[in-house]
Amino acid sequence: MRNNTKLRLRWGDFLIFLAIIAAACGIWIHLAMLQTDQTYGEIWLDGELYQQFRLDGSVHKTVQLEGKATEVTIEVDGTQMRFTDSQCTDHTCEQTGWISRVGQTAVCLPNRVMLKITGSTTDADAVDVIVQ
Amino acid sequence: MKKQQISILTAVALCFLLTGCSTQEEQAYTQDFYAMDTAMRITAYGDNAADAVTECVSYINMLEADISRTRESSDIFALNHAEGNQTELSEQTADILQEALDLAAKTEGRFDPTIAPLSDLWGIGTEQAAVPAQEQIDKVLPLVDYTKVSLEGTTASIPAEAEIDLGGIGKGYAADHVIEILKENGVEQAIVALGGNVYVLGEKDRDTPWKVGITDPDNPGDSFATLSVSDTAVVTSGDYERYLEVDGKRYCHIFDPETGYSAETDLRSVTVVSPDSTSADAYTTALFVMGLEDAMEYCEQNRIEAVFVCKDHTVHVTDGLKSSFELQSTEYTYAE
Repeated sequence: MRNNTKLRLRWGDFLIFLAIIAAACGIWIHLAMLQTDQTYGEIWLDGELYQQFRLDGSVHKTVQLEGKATEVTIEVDGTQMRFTDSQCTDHTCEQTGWISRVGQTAVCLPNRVMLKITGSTTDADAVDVIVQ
Repeated sequence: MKKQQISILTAVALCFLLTGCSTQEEQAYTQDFYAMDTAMRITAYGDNAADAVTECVSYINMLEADISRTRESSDIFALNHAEGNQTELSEQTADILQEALDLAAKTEGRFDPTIAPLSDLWGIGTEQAAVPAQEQIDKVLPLVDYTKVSLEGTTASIPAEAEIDLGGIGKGYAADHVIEILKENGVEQAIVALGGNVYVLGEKDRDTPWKVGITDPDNPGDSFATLSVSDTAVVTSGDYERYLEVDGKRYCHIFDPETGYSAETDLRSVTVVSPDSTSADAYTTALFVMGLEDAMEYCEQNRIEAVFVCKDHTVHVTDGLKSSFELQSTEYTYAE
């Protein structure tokens, strides 16, 4: 027997719709919050992570570590970091200057020490890689 | 199906549609490592990324073992210490040496893989770096001549005291082969950064190219401009990489094989964009040695796309790159 009953939405159906739309909005807001800028400074020694800290303006310190060849000094100044001194042969790392944006790196090759800026960014000008 | 079930299914579909705007980025795998006297990083995307990158790192280490100047077990070490006698090379070493010789011929020796005796004399990047006396330069300059290299199949010889250094194209050659390995492993998106050699595979996203920053010669930790490109190599050489400063004068690590001196031109850096990373690597050196005017002419004649940064802070871009180039720093002027 054919059923000619039309599908009609009831108040309960609207409530289900509203509840799920609210849940979707919640998830979307959560994901959006995760995508806000979070920048980290990282010090890597011979391929291993040596130290990591947030570059949110709160960290001001000098890090001294023994690289593969000599001692290296790194300065962390709030939102940026740099090599300030190295007893290595070429001193190229000192000439690199401050780095602060996601994707930037500075390297002391003789000591195999690398500074990296990592994290997420919403900066439209952010680069995927820098050819150095 | 009951009405309520239809309502729930519709609502769930709506939920997926609403949250679907935040697509999950494809799985990325990154490896940082040191090889060929530089820091390298390979980032690949996709299911097979980790295995593919591991294979790439092994390949680069294997290539370095063949072409290193300093490893006593390498082909190039054997060739450089053969006192003019013939040396048998691996097929790979012979291949890269042949490419180096071809590029030296194409650039009329501005890029020369026999530059080593001269760069050793200057010692830039070492504790012994110094401006040599003219007599010293005159003595080693005759050793810098790629036409005296003999290569027949995999058998090579060079004059006694001459030396081959494939560092000028080694990273470019490595990048080209790394890209092949990634493709063979099904990787469609990757960023390969081998020192001053970057290769971007595929697009960043659908119809969205990768954004490659070009190092600011005044502030080498940062970029001054970007290139929006896909499936290509971007290679830079500049006077900021390794240099010696004496009495306020900068002597960079790029040498002019004609004069025996550090290249003295109006340029600070040259960036070449090409799907062939090996030739791009050699061209950055050669174009730097030429200076802006000759380099622009050479690019036009040989269909090379490049970005030149001059000492007066002007930036010159070849026609093929104008639409993808974007100047970010106000310290530089774009020469139209």
